[in-house]
Amino acid sequence: MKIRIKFSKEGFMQFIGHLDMMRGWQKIFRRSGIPIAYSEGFNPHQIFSIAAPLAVGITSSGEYLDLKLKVENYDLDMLIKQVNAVCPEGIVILEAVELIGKQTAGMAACKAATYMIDLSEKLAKLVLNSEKLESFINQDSIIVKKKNKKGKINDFDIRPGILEFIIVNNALHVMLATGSSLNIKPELLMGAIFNYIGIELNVFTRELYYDIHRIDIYTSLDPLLTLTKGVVNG
Amino acid sequence: MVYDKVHRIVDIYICVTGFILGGIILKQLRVPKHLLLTTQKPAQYIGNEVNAVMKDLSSVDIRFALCFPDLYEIGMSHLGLSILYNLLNSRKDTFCERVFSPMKDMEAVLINENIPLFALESQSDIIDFDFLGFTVQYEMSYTNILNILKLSGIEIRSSNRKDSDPIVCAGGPCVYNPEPIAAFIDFFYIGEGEASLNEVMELYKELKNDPLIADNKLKDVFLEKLLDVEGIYVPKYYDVTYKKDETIHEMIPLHEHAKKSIAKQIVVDLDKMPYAKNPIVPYLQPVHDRIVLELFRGCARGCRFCQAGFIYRPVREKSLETLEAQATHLINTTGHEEVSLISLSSSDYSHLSPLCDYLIDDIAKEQKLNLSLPSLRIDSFSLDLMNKVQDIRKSSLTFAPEAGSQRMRNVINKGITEEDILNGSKEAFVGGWNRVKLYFMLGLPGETDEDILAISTLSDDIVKQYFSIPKPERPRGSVQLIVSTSFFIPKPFTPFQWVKQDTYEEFMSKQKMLNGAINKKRIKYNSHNAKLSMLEGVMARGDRRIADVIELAFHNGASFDAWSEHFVFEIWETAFNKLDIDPKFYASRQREFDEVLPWDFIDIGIKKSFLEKEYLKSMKEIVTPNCMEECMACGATCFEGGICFEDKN
Repeated sequence: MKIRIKFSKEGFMQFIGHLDMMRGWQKIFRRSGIPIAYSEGFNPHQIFSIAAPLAVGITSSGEYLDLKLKVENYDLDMLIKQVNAVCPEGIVILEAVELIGKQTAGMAACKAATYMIDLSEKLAKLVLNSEKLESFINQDSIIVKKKNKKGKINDFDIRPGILEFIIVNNALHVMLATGSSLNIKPELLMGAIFNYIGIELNVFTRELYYDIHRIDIYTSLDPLLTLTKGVVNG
Repeated sequence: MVYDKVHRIVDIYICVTGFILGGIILKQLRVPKHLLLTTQKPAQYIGNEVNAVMKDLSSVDIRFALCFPDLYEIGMSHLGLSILYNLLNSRKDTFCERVFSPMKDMEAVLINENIPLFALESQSDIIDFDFLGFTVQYEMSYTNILNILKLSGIEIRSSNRKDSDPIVCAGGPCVYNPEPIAAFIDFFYIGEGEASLNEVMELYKELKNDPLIADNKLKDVFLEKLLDVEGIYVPKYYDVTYKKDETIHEMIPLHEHAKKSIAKQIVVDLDKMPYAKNPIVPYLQPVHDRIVLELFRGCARGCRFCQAGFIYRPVREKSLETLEAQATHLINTTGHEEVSLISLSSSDYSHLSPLCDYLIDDIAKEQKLNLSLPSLRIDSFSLDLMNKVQDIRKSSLTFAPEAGSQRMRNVINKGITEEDILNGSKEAFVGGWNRVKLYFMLGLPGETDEDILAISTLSDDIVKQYFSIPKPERPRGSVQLIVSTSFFIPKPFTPFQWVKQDTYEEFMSKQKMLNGAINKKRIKYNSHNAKLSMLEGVMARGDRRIADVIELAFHNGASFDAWSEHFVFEIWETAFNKLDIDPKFYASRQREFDEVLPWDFIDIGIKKSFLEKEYLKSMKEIVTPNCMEECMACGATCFEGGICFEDKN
């Protein structure tokens, strides 16, 4: 039985990197006692995957994990209860849906993600009050330097991947393309903004920093459907 | 009281776009989030792991900062820390929190931002605690202890501290010779914490709550009262005088209650002892990311170079029922995927076979659990066992013959023969292992060139064992032998506590000789740092005067000396020179039997005359039977329990 769960990763858990989190999940599932399936072979491992890994320092209220149980018809409310009972503070399972038949894996189903980027007061003054911000977003293309997997630095246009860009008080609310075809990380966007405005912020200080919160991940933009709501069974 | 999750879920904020973020407000982080994010592995500074304890600060009498003076990933792999954490936190009146050495980048943040060192659980400053307790596992962590004091804003020397500063204490194997760090520590605990640490806490609580004792007198009164508690050493109540030849003349108690001899404290019945029941599950991968099941304490073997083999006597086992129950509980509470059975010599555990059957058949198969078994003797039984638990991925196998020649193995009382080693390695090759690691020591007492070259010959003979196996039965891939040598460091409370350690030059020429002799075609050779080993030799057998060297080296930048990338010998050399202290006096000097040794006032329950006899036997290459075979009357019967009182067949 395949299941997709939605969870939040907040508070202290924002400091736990993706690989540590993967080891953390293995232990959570072991403690919970749910009948998770293991791969075959000499070195069996639990079958689960994360839809879109989150960088250290980013909180989220919409993370997704696909997992496989070795039984059918497991009660989903029970599963949520069992897992939540043993989750560390900061991780809460919010929803679970069964994936019936052949379904696109969470990782491949991602189309976009929304983020709230909260700027420190001082940084907000420098960035959000700048007239340049409007001209920044009105560009036809926004070229950034990005390292590819081989370590080579390429030019990369992030403008097509910025799907929403709203200023809310001291924060930016953005929707960015997420997934295998086009993937824009919010830090990359922030870097492009700083570069355009002419702010150097390589290391955070007590006054100059921003917080990123991922709100949700979507599999469809019209209508807007999250990774769990967009599951079509049957 | 365990911190309630609900209390922290506050402040749900609604932003104008209509999204609701259930934001959890962080327990105040001592280092602001954005500065924390500039450091490597920030997760090591936040606490809050699964099974970490949170208590309401206003509900406890005693706040204890328990410190492993090295990195989080090292300290979190240490069973002793976990045991003490559980022991202290099982007291309602005590809140024990953890402290580790910050990494260098974090240290810079703390200094630049003027933030004192803090404990992980409550994130409060160390200086606000009642106790700062160090577990001292290796001598080369001494400068890290000083660094932790400094980063906490606590004076390095006990004599300079304020009454309001935490009481600084220490325990662990290194404090069996507490003298090199006696100037920095208010009191030492000699022995196993489970035995009487509770008594120490009770005493403190009683005095702290006594309205007749003023706050600024509490520390003094407490330290004085500790003189009546067994196993506690309060250095300020002793003075040491020296002879003209710089050896110790006398250790003089300065208080009528200061004992002439401090007796090691141990737990006799391990089944009744509290264990690390709910160990913390770290997010960051520690060096050992697994459940640790302690089989027994002590070691029956009596290898003459091994300090653990003497200071932890007598051997005391946990029963099979206890271990089965503890294993089951630990698996459920942690979710770890590996269980490691630990002890000083696991093959000697009486119930090893039924315990492994239980773990493999009843648990491992069902729950896909791995079992790891370090410290096994390599024989057919243990290879069979490893075959059962390790599946197909044959990792390397490690032997520790310690010496190359049989003569030398008799000198050190390593109870294995060349035949054992050769048969063991052949069985390992047949069993599918082709990577074998071998550990040896250079510079053992009375070592000759032949003994050194025997390491190379033995290694060659092991390779020959591989080729004597018919080709189809050999493991795939070619044979790979890794020979590692460390330099022998004489330790207190061993039969070799009197011997001269080789000098740097002697170490290097021995290493060169061996390096030239080893056949590099099939054998890889690794060696330890001779300067570090010499320094460790000084620290291990040092006296009170060494404190100056440690302090000066620390002031000149020494820290993380156990890490090769951070160890700078020149800093230490300068400190010795400047203080006119000769390291050779401590490391490479043969002591007479009648010399007063700095650690003579500690009573580990083993008679000094026994160690002396063992040393004399070693020079005649006479082997001593182990405790399972015959009692040699070392003195450990004084503890009235353990192997000394079991039937021997």
